[in-house]
Amino acid sequence: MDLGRIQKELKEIERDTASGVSVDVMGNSLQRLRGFVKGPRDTPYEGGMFVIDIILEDQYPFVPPKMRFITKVWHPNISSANGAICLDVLKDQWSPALTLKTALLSLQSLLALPQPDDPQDAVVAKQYLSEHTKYAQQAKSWTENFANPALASTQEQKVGQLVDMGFDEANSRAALRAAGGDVQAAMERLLSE
Amino acid sequence: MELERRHSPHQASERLPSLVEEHSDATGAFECNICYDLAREPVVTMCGHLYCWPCIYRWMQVQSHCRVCPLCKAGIDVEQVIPIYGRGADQTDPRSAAEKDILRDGPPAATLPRRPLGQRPAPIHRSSSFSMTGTVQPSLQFIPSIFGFNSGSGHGHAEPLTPEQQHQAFLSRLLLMLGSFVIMCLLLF
Ligand SMILES: [Zn+2]
Ligand SMILES: [Zn+2]
Repeated sequence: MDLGRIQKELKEIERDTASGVSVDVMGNSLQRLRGFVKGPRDTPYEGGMFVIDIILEDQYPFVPPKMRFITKVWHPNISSANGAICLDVLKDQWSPALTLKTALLSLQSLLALPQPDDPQDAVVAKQYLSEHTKYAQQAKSWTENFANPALASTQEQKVGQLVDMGFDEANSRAALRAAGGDVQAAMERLLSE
Repeated sequence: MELERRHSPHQASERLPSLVEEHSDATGAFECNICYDLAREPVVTMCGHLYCWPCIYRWMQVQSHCRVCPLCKAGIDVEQVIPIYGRGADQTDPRSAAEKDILRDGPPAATLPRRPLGQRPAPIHRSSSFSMTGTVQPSLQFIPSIFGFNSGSGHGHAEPLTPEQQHQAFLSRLLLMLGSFVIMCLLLF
């Protein structure tokens, strides 16, 4: 993996605070990162902070970063079940001249401009096309419920705490969810497993 | 090579302060668009974008169907990159280059072909029609060239001429023919 380039990318994202996207490092490997995308204005996603799971493979930047929404989101091109994203630049339109920042900015514009003709979530896409007001309402309520900026960062902090204790990240996330966000209870759950 | 040296000292001293301040910007113009480092074994694509040879070669190998420039999506090919030979280049120890991450994950050194060589087009003679004033050539020697035979005296290479050059050569031959015809007329009559 080209660590030099990733470090330069991270520095550049850090320097640019106005773009509405940012990246956090999880632990001490640069393989697993956390992206944050601010919901674009004048959309049902406004006011939300969307957390993105980023996995960099060894071949990065020759292959696209693997990105997935951790925050639940109601959007034609994002799976409402697992956060999988349907976006060309994260697939065959990727180029090594693109960066984590441009990819996250693409996600931001995808939030602003859904492409229902190339859907990831067929149910949402159908609703988007046939009952647009209903779609907007649902997207807005999901944003309020799941993409709360304060919630996003505290949630990530809690996951980070558990990961620092040595627990697996996915397990920590599941345990936290089951424990209703209580770190102590989540830890007990993880220990009893 | 001499040319570069001739006009560098002045400008360098004038630009030094700003160069130091904007160090990152100045070198930024010569950073590879893939690894973000100063381009190693630099090559430039026909569309003008700079890369390390190992980086762009690897990208060409990754792309399965059609090979495009990472920045502008213009078509690129192994044979269609121009190497850049800067001063002080090739002084880096190739072994240290091999330690670079991108090479380590990329094609092993054995499979990475040599960077393509630069092309050497023929020099273009400006106002070529009567430029042979300095050298007095026996008239017999340039008669063949009038009729399209290359005497080979001034040209040490065999690259094909571009259409433009061919056109120019044709024009100059025509003028030469006319000129010698006039002189012949003057001499004979
Ligand atoms: Zn490079
Ligand atoms: Zn280009």
